[in-house]
Amino acid sequence: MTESPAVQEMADVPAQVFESFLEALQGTDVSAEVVARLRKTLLVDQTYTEGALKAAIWGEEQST
Amino acid sequence: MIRVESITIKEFRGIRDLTLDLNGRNFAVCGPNGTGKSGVVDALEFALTGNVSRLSGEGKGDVSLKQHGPHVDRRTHPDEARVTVRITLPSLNRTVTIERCLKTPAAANIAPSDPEVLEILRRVEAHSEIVLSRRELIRYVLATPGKRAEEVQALLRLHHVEQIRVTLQKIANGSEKQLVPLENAVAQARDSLLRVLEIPELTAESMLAVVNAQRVVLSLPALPDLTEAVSVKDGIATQQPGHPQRIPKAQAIEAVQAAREALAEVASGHTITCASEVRAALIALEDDPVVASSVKRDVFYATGMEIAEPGACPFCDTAWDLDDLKKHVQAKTEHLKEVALKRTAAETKIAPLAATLRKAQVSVETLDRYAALATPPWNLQGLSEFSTNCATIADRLATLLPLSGTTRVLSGVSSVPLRLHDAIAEFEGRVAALPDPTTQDAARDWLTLVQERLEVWRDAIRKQAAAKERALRARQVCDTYSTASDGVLAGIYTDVEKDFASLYRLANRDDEDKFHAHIVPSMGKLGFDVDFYGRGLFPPGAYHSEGHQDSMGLCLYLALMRYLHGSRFTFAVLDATAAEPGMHHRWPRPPPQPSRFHDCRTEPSVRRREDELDLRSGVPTRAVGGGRHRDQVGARGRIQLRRGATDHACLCCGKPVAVEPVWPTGRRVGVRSQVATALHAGHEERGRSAVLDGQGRLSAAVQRLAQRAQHRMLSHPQLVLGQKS
Repeated sequence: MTESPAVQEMADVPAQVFESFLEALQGTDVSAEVVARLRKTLLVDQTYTEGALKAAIWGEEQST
Repeated sequence: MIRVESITIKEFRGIRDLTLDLNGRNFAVCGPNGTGKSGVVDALEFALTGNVSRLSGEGKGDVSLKQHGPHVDRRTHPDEARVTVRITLPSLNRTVTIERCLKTPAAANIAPSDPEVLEILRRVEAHSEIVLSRRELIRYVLATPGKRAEEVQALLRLHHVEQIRVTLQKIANGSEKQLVPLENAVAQARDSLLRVLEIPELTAESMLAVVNAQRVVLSLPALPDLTEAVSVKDGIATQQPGHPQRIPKAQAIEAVQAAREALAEVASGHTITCASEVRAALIALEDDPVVASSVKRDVFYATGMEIAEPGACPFCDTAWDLDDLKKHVQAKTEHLKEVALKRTAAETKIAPLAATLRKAQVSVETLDRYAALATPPWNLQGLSEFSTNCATIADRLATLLPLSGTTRVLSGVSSVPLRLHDAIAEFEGRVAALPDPTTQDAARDWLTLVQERLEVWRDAIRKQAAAKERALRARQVCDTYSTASDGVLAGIYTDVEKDFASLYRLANRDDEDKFHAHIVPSMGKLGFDVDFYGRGLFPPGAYHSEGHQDSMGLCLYLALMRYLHGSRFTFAVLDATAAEPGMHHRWPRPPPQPSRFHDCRTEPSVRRREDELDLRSGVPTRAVGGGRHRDQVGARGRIQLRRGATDHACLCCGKPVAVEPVWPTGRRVGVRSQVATALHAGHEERGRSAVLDGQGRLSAAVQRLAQRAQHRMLSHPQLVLGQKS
């Protein structure tokens, strides 16, 4: 459902933090793949479990 | 966001039947204690969110919305407890009616129920912080930095931000922790390789020199280098199937020496001391019931939150709010910090002990493997048993939990059975009796062993390198996240800090026009210092009066809400926030409006005397009260009675007050009913001060009960209890 104008102006602080984090991460030597996975986990899937973050950092095959 | 036009409350909390026409304007509810002001606040919250926060959530004990939401006299009839609120949505230019019944609080009748309307109401429902009491507001000010951070994080929806910071920290720490055993494994593999090569340093040149010397014996070409693709055995014919493998005599003798050295280390005084220290550390953890249970729960919490899903508990199907659950569990895990420190100290002591055991395990396993090559295999008692025991203890030490099991295995960690020494001696004797291999066989055996150990060493290095890369990446992600989130939050808190100080200066401009504050976020904490009349920055509770502290709580809340909602922060219901009777400084004037909150409506529940009720903002404000408040009400508006406004009508029931006997002594009725009865009597007397129990039948005990009672009428005359008794 599209959010009405009444709610669009609400400050989404977590999203601000995540965007800032991902932008900063792009400036490091962490690969673009990792940044993309973290973006998907944090902003798209919005799953914040340890397993999901490990998978984003190391890739599925290395996350255990 | 929304504006409340009217609210009708029936059999809800302390209110029997009440309709208030707020007409979309600011509204203050005032009156003496227990007159139902908070009931109006609760009703508004209930209508908008389906919940009453003071009756639900953590720390509310046995109180519940369903049981204690209905009026006390109709508490078994939740179907009669209803709140109907009529609101306008300025953004949609619509008027909406919401009706909720306590029997089915989640099922609101909403008309009209367009998707746009429902979306806004859903958002309102998700922001229960629009309704707060003084007690909740003051927490922002007086809490410890850690607790304040939690409160503010909850308000700003920051719990995920903090949760991720903690999780990334945990991942980084965990991945670095895994490096220690891998480094030990590399060192062991290197030592093992050096031992068979019989060279002092592991360089490519020195390795090639000794390897090629043996290859010459087998007429094999010299190796130019030792890359990972190269085997020192290249060119040696593979073992024929069915051809029994020989025991490499020289290596077996070397293995005996290695096993004896490893066992000597196990039985050494150093190992005994180390085991004793580890045991003491674990017993200290085990002896503390809180710590011990916390250690066990650490794993439970982590695992539980990994698999927890929205909806309900997978064990008992009890419905839960996953965010609340996570917050609850997070608070518990905070208590594990002390445990984590003790545990880390124990694990530091455990690491070398586990390494010693692994070394002994591998060396004895080697003997066992050689013994199996004999024809028939040598059955040497105790070898496999000991290596298995070493592996079990090392695994247990690595796992740590349960502590009792780990402590138990430590008791025998340094003992080496006598029969093991016997078995090794027997093995040594049998090996010595073996015929010496030919020069070629010896070279072949040696190269085979070198290749085995080279592969073990290379594998250990690969694993270590991979783990290092993982740890470095995890640390980099964690540090970057911490820096980025600290930066964003610092910016937010700077904005909030400025807005807070500005609001506070406005609210207290008579005496604090130079006020400033400092909000300092750091590692899950939120420091908060305020200026005290130019004398420096101090915690809010240090020198400021309670009234000023209350004012700070409200201003901080307003600043946070304004940050969160921006110009859409237009509605708040605040309970017990205006002023204490006889005090001038809690909220000396209404919330700083209209200049600061042009469109924001607040519904403060006021505790103050009529002569202090100074709503001089210029914003149309209504007050509900009675008795001595009547003039004030008259000036600002009218008491809205459902069945007509009359001084003789009871807001409990809306009916003219009937003459009833006062205090039927000995009758077992609820306190609230007693007070209601007394108030009816007070109405009948029509005095501005109803002196109850004029006939002396109001006992002191009943007075105390009545003073504690929650149920009074909004329009009753000033209540003076028991002056004649």
